[in-house]
Amino acid sequence: MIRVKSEHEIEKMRSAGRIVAETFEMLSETIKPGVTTKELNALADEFIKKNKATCSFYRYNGYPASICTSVNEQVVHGIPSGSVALKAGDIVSIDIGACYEGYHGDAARTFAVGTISSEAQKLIDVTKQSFFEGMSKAIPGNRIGDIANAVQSYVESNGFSVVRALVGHGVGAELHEAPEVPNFGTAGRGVRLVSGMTIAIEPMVNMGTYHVNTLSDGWTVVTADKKLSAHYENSVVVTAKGPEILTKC
Amino acid sequence: MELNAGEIVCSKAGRDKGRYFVVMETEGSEFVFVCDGKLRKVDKPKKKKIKHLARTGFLAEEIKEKLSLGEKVTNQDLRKMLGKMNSDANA
Repeated sequence: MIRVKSEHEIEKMRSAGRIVAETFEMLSETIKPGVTTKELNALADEFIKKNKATCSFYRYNGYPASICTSVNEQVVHGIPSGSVALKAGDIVSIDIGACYEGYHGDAARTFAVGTISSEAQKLIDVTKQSFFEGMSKAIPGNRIGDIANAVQSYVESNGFSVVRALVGHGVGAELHEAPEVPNFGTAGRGVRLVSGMTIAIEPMVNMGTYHVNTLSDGWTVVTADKKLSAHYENSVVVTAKGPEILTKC
Repeated sequence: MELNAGEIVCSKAGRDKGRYFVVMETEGSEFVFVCDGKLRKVDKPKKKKIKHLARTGFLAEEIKEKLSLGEKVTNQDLRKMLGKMNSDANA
């Protein structure tokens, strides 16, 4: 069942989303060569708690950390570690969820560490723009497939591929709610969008094949060909005036 | 088809055809009471046959919560939740 949110609930989601966006702003200044993903996790955890929110991912289905840090070929769900220090030329995808007064905000960004290759920068830029291509279709009366198709078309026209094993989702009182929001599919298909629906649109874009594998830690998802992957996500509410990003400052 | 309190449904028959409502209460396996805060107010819910309603797959979580806790649901709550859907449908 898809949960339609009231204005009161959406306001709480804006607050949760603001905390997530501010956490990204804070972290963006610390992402430099030498910093470990565990340090990033600690900073985010402290910041979220200081803002009277809780980390949505911590202990979610047993996940052991507060945020996800996925480096280079890691697609999503990378577990922060003291032994993973970022190096110049790396790209790191960070996924953050914060729960404020019972409602979640969920977003992800991919950052460049130091100077990166032009191909890696293009991957990050295309991933970000594909989110906005998809979001532009999040209007009442359209269908989930319209979002999915817009993301896929943009990504593939730029020579990259969209991950199919993982999808976006509804978000609200639960971190993951119905419906699923894939990044590939046919326009005009799927659930019809209505005002008050809150969804997390999250393109995961690979430089090579869209096939992925999960590492033995049970969480970290990596590209099957070990090529780079980028991630961009925001929680969005569908309104008659157009989509509104909830995870913004 | 079984409907539960808090579910958003669309009327398939009657003068309210095409409007969205929230299920407030169920009665047996054939009837439910629905309101939208405008045409059908909280103090006078409309008894409708389930077969005259279409399931939308959407749930008004906040209203379901209030109903299960026995808290008062206002017409304003319903209008805020459905107003946008009903105006989308008429757009």
